[in-house]
Amino acid sequence: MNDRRRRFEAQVLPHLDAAYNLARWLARPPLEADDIVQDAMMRAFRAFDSFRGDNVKPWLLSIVRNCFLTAAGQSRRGRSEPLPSDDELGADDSVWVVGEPDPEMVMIRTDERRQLHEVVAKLPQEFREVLVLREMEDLSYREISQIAGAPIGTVMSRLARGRGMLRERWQSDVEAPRHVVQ
Amino acid sequence: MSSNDALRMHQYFDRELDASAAAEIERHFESCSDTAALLKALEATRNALRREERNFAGRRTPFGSWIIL
Repeated sequence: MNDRRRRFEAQVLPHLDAAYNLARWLARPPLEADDIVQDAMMRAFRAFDSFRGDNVKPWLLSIVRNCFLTAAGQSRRGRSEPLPSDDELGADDSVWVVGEPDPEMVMIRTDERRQLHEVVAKLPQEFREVLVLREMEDLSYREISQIAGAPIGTVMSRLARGRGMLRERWQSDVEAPRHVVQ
Repeated sequence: MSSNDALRMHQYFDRELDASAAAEIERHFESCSDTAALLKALEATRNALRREERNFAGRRTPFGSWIIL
């Protein structure tokens, strides 16, 4: 194994799970997360000599995102939904907790975890990706900005709106039907 | 809660505020039930998403099997 490959594996492979996690949340049929990650890893390896800096994770995830966008464009099926307006989103942050004294306990049930996955998967790509990068990968606003190619203010706004959308859709798609049944 | 206040709460929750700004927020939510409820909701959302991610992690292809260089 040559030195370049050794350095690549030491620095990049620890972030393979993060790469796959982002890809699986971005990809929709017929796109496959496996293919996107494979393409991204090959591109990352080819471009590794040009990488500068000490934080390889945002660099790798930006390649994953670019690979997804390329694949989505080629398939003509990956177009993101139009961004909803603030009015459509309903910016009231209290909606998640009204009448729900312990939302965490509600959401830990297995069936609801599946429903949560479905709700997140339905969010527009712009919001889905910032939620994944922040909530699951624990990246900073600056790192997310670098990956998404958007100003930090936009990242903040998308994150807040994405969280609001997630809460609203959770209530309308999961909580409301449950109350009807009960 | 105004949009700016809400954004600031998200910054606080995401540890993106400096110490003095964070302390200001903490003083505020001690006396504001809406703010405390929002923080609780944000935490619940994050915990649920991280739980889902951990649940999925166990089904991934074994480490190192992705690339053939």
